Amino acid sequence: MVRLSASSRAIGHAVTATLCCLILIPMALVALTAFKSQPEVYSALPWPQQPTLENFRRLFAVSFDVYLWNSFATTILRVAGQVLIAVLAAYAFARFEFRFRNALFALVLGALMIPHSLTMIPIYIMVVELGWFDSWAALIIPNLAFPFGVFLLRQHMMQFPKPLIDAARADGASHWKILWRIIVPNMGPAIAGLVIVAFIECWNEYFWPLLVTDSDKMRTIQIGIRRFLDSEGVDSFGPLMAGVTLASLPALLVFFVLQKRVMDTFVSSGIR
Amino acid sequence: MAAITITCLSKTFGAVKAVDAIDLTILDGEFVAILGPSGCGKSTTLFMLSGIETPTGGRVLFDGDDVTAMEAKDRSIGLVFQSYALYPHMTVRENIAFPLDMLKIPKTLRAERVARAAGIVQIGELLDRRPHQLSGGQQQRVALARVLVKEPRLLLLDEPLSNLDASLRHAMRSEIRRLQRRLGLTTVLVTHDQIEATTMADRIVIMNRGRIEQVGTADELYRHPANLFVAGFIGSPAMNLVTLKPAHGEIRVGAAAASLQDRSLASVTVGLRPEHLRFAAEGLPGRIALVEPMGREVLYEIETEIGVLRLLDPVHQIRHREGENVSIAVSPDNLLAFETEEGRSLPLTVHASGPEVAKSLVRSESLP
Repeated sequence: MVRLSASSRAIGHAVTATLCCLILIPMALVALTAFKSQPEVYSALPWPQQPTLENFRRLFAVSFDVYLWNSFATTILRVAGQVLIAVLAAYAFARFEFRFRNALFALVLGALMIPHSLTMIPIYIMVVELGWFDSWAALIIPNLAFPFGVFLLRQHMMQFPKPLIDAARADGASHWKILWRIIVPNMGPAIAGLVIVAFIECWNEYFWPLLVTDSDKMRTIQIGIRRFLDSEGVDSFGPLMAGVTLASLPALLVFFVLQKRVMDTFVSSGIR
Repeated sequence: MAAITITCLSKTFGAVKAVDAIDLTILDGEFVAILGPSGCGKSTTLFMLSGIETPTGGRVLFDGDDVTAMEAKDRSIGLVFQSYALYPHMTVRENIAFPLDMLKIPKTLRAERVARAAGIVQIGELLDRRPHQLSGGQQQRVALARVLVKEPRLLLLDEPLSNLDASLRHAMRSEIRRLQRRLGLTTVLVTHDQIEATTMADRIVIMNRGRIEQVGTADELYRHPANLFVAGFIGSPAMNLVTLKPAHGEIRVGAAAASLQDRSLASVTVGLRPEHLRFAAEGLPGRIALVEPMGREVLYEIETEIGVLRLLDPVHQIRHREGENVSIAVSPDNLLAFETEEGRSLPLTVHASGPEVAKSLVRSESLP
């Protein structure tokens, strides 16, 4: 490890501290505004003088609970499906010898490189033709294949100690048992990392849910929050901030709980 | 328990022949060690016996039944790995019970068999620990318990002792041997350590470059190595190998002489074990080049007319200093001869032995 001099360390700390402030100050302003009463929203003081939960009450008065439920349920189902498919596909790519294996894996990698916006319209058309428009199916199913997850887990499975797999084979385990009883329990960090990435990506998704949902009962939280931006005029900033605060919490929570595992995972797979 | 027959077994990885058409028979209840240098194909052979590697040619029979195409899980084998391969997320108890779980053995019976296997290797008190909380020796025992719990008909050990320290290795060596005797388990051990092979196995298979060089007891391999490879590989310190030109079909080292059956050979390689050489009043003259005290014995490197010879003196005191002139003698019964080119062993007839110094050494040249 390179040892830095005191002065370069001081400069480094100053730069990171500045960057942290640049990111944290707006977040803090959002969170603090969420607790301000309506007349206070535009006051110069960043913190509320009379903290109130009024904004949160107003939020839930306009079916915010429905958005929250849609977001939670579809995110959990989608992430579970993504991880399941990624685990199975990664095992096949890592452990089976079959024709066109490398070509197929190259396709998976290729899919990583295609921008989402490019495939959105054709998938949208398919979703509509399948009759899934404005349903959870539209939010979940088109996103179940997660090339990044397949790639990440395959790399980890390739590095999995072969003697453990051979021992399990000699002990009488089938491929299915080897995967679920031996490999997956030892891939906690990799799977935790994948869950975080997938969770945050899904939770924060804005454009796709906007495209494939229409009714209020199918909207997700990110779109729901927007209602306060367009329709209710100036006095809706408070609820908007409350919504943003609430919407940020799950992703932050997942990240903080599992952050060490994420770092380990990405460092060990060579992605930083 | 099972008798194993291997016929014409081969394994190629791309262009590399890891195992090259080997034949071998292992008797029921026998302990066989496969010994050879790294990359000689010994582990590949073991993994083909276990069913983990699929042979590219040949057959494997267990008690006369062809198991070549059979999956590892259906062969009733127990395989112990060099790294022990304990499942890190399971406790010792779960590790040992895992094969029984795979065999769908009822839970009540499972607990009983786990306890019995743990008892055999004396790890009863470790059952609730996880592998990372165990020492190397304890992990080794757990690995053994995990294979014994299945009551396999064949026990396969892939360098099981190489990760242990010297004293533990010694203890585990005799323990595995005792266990194997007691259970009468047909066992195949793969190792690169000749002490491990000679102390544990009934018979030893010497492998080199994917082929079997010789099969025999430790004594047979030591006394009658079939070729130069085995001669050089078995014995520690390694055998002295010197190239001599026979005179009228006779080779001489000091006063020891022996006749070759083939009198036409222009050159032979003579093998002399360091422990068979001794200092004598008269014999092959030489000068001490190096003295290596080994504790109980002293190893001398001596420059002679026929090349540099190592002599293992069973006396722990250093009797000769570097630079000193000495004479070396060897009993003619201990001479071994090999074809220089092909390396095959040559039969010798011993016909002369005496104290007089041989002056008839024809030409000398030491092997590298």
